Amino acid sequence: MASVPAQVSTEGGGLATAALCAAVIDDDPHRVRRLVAILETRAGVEPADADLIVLGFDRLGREERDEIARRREDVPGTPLLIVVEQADSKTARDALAAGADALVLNDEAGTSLGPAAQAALAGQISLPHSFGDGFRRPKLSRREKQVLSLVVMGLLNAEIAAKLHVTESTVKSHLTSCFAKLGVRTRSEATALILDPEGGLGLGVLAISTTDDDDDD
Amino acid sequence: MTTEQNGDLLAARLRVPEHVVYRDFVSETVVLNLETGRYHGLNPTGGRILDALERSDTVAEAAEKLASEYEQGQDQVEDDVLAFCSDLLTRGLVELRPDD
Repeated sequence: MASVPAQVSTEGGGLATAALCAAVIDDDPHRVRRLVAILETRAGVEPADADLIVLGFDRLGREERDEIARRREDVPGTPLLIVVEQADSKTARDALAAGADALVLNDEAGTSLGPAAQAALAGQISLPHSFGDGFRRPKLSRREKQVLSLVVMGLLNAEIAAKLHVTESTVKSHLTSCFAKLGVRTRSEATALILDPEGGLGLGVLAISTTDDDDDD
Repeated sequence: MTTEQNGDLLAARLRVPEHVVYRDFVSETVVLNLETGRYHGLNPTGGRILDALERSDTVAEAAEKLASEYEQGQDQVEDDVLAFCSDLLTRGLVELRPDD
């Protein structure tokens, strides 16, 4: 039993057991000190000797995703946690796809890193709640599906407006709503989220059923 | 399909309905049905037939154009075009033009 932590410390939110140690890997020495303190672990633990690995980043781009994938390959069985200054549901999805077990926002590390570490050690995956949108199947209205399906076809807003007999600003407002539901910022991100051969939502998400809500234009 | 139905369809005037959008990509034509939200893919030959249908008065006329373009026998091309048209009709991707 000693190797598995039975409880989370409510004060520090750390690993709550001296038997576990975490390797914190980060270019920012200030963040390293802070994360080490939060986890109440020893400093300077080598990844190969660690019970879990924490990677700290400013942001999650391609380079960071590659690093996550590389670390995952190096230590396939060790929980891998990401602490990042900024992320959204898309980059959070990408981090998990690259092999991370948890993503914690740096601002929330004080309260969330310990529980996320506990969860990872117990074989669970965790994310900030708001990023879950990237995994839930978005519930789009009939009109939103029509607008989005034309975006996927490569049509411009003016062309979509003409096709659906609505104004361009109506198209824009449907798109804003679609993007929020999909957790993306641009039409190319939306298209990629739907069409991505690995883990994309698929075109089926745009199929219209009789139970879809109608909305007024 | 019976010979009679074939004859009807050959003389039919088809068009792409308002709720259907199609677009040519490098290796296929993608057809979107906005009523169902479903996409259909046409291979280049299918795309070429759809294009010919749009630019012809009747199915027979489209088949004639395609037969001369592909240097194939008229009967063979008519059979292929009819089978394709009936598939498109079933999927709601073309419709009969109302008489005007």
